[in-house]
Amino acid sequence: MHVCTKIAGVLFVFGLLFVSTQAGDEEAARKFEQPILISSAGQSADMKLIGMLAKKQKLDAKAVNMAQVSDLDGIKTLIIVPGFSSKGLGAAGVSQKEEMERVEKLVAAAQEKKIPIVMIHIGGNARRKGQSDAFNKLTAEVAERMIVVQQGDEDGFFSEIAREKKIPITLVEKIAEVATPLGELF
Amino acid sequence: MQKHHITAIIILMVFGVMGALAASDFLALMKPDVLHPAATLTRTGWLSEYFDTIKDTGGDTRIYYFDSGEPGATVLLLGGTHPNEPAAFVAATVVLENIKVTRGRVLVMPQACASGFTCTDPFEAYPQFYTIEGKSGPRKFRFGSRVSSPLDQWPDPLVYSHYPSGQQLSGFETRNLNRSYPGRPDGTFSEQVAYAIVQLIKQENVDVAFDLHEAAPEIPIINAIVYHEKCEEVALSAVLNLEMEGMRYSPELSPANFHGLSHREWGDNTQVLPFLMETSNIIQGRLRGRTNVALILEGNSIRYREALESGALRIDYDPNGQPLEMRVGRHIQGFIEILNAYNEYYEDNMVLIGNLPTYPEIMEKGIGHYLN
Amino acid sequence: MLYWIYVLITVFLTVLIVMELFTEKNWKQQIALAMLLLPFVLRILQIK
Repeated sequence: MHVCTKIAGVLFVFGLLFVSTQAGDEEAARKFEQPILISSAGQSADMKLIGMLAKKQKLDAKAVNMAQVSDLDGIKTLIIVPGFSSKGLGAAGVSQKEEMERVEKLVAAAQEKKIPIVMIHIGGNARRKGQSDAFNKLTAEVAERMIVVQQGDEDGFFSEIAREKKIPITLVEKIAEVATPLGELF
Repeated sequence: MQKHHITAIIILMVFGVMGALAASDFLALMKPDVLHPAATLTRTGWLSEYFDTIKDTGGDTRIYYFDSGEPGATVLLLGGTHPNEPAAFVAATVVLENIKVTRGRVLVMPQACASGFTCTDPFEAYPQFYTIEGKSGPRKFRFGSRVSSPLDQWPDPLVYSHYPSGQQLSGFETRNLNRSYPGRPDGTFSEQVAYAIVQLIKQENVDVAFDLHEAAPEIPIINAIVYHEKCEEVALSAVLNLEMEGMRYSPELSPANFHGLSHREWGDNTQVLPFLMETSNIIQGRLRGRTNVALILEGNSIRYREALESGALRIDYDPNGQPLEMRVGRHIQGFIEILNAYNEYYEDNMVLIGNLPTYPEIMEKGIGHYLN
Repeated sequence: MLYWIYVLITVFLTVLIVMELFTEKNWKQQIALAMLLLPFVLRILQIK
């Protein structure tokens, strides 16, 4: 093969890489719109923490742990915070099955209304495996962005979904560090 | 005398000796644990001062008062609601043996269910005592039962109906202090103790109250702070602050329809902001294997490790276990941070405490370093 | 009141067991009766 062809080939490959990186960066830098609806999937109180961080970031957000399809009216972004809590389910007075059905309906309605979904997992190990992963998987797979506290992704659960579904993911060390990438989304 | 009379007397004597040994072993649990409060102690009282029906019963228990003399919030710390959860009792003991209050008051009740410290749970093979090497020598503490002694409350009904909600639980729970709130003056023994604690909260105008607990590793609510909805902001701020210090606690909202528990009934029936904290206590776990003192102190079990390695364990289990230092440290750090968060939200009614060991200090120096 | 009824029943059963212990001629049966006696005595004494 001629040297020039080789160089052209290498440049082409680099070009492709560059383009795909750019696309990734663009995707990662994508801005979401307000107002925001924050809801739980599994009824853990982690959703309340995200509500608190959103308030500190001065975002136009309302946190509704049992958000229904009607709560999506006028909403531009849906943030779902997954994690199972038996106490939370008890507090909400619903069964695990009813909670799953609610989340499925909410997600379907958001997709139908073209409301982007952001998944934020902050519960670490305590909100992984067991009864939490069904909620984690459901909400991670439909998300357009993921923010995950690293301890919850030690086995690569979220990173793997992000890679497969080409969803930009931001991993942070601590819950308080979610505030910055959360603020940057809007 | 006939031959079978002689054998009857001999057998009776042999069994008399065996019975005496068993009785002496059992009666050893009646002896109160010796605690050495910090020099800042202002008064020692009894729970029966708030409801005298429980005076001279197994339900009466000591309360240690630390009053700064400066106006501020009143805090109540309960350990030993479930005497088979030793980190709760030991954490309250470390607090009462070290605390210095510079604003407001702190009341410590290290053995909320005093009756439960006088026996162990049947069929669990729990040890009766465990020993921690303290500054002035070995400190021997009782390891008790989850519930009040059947000598104080008997018999258990088939189904326990909680007062006043009517919620039904298994009969065993009728002796569980943390299913008996708010209690009633003419109720069962446990309901009377619960009633006395609620009276204490009301009469002393307690602003913040803590109920320390432990749970088996397989219970989802471990390493958690359970809070009443009226103190959500304080709880969540504390969770964030603790996480910044590298300690993870799951925030858990108290279910409004699960009755009898401190975090629900104290919050609903009194002015107090209630918090309940849980750590992971392997001796309560179903897979624990040989049940001994090492399990209490080291918090690790080869059976859980085997289950983890086999992939059968579907819970978050640290193969290094959770030693008593870690569990006590978590409770004390949680106590400190919740009060810090409370002070942020209630600046005009703060409580200021000091001289308590932090989690890293307890992990480094051990619990004994902080036991007088 | 319930407690005293309980004590009366326990004392009654204890007396029956002791009487049986002294009329029983087989020593193995006597051991079984002595074992049965233990919790009753401890319950009457409010020990366990």
